[in-house]
Amino acid sequence: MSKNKSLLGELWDFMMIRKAWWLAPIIIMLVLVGLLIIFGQSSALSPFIYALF
Amino acid sequence: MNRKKSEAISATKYYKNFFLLFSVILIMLLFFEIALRLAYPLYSNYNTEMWRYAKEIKALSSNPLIAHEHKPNAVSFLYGTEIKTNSIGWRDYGYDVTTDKYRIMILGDSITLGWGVDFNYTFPKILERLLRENNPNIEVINTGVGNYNSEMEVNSFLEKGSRYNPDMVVLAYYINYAEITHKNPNAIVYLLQKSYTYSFFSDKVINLKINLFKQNQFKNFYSALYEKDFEGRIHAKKAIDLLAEYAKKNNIPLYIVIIPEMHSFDPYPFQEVTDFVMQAASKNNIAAIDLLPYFKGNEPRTLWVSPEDAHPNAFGQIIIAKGIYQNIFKENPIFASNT
Repeated sequence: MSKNKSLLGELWDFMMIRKAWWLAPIIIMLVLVGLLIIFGQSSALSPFIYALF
Repeated sequence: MNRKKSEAISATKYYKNFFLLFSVILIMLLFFEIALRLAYPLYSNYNTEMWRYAKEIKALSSNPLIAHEHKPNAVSFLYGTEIKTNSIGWRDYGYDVTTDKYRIMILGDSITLGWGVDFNYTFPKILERLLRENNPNIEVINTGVGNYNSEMEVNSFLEKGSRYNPDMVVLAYYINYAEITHKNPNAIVYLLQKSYTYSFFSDKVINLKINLFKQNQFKNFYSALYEKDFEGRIHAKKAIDLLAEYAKKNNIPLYIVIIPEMHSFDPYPFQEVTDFVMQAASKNNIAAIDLLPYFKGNEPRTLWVSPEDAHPNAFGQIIIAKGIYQNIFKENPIFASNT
């Protein structure tokens, strides 16, 4: 592995070489949750919307 | 023979991988659900608390026109305050209908319910205290249920509220009353009610739509409800007609009180909604009271329950109660006497 690879790059290499595909859903979920937490913060422009009923 | 053997090995490998992937997803979701339950106070907000409100206080109604209702004798601590329902399912005292009292029934949604506000600071209770200064025989009954539109309120009143012989009915109209009544299939609701993962993701998706895609922001969301021929608007008008017909038939005074949308009072962006309600009331010879003048002069956000939630806080509830009192009761000798 090259020295300058990012964390994600190294993780990708690890998955490819070790064929650890089971790691993919965990990584995807972590990235997705991270993005949702950053961009999905409560807004003052929200109307009264209900998640269930 | 060798080819067949290698095909069998590759098929086994395929199933093994698939099983591994499926197991990982399942275990991950399980861990995620457990983590969300343990960490709930750290990320709870308006949307997740509304989900918890549905989970702990509400139940599906057998009447499709009501869709959902409060469970009787339910209690939960939600958005900083206790919400407790009586044996009928209203956030109020238990009433003895056999006593000879003057009963004013308030029909409404989460604003009437007093979302985020202590029981004693909900506008029906403030109004009750104001009226009882002159006449202790008055009861103001809070029938508010969160996420009700006028169709649900009126049908709930006809099915349940009317049995308690109100002497006066006040419909506390809010701009979202023209939303369409949604009926969710039971099995799905049962699953969604249990899942913190659903609550977490639905909150994020709602906010993402507002923040990133500029969808469902309050102005376009509410304006769309009052577009000509929109089904919800037609239902809202029909519900007012139905309530007026009942009141006329039973000789019960009926008032409509219009609570303004809480983002901007001056200029007010939803005057056409006020006009729509005024017209619907006037066609039925009902008095409609616009509370906007009572809110003007206040910075809207100082009247919110929290910086993310435009439900009126205790100060907002006081303004609503005083507006109703001054318009309906102040000059009325029945409510000023001790009879």
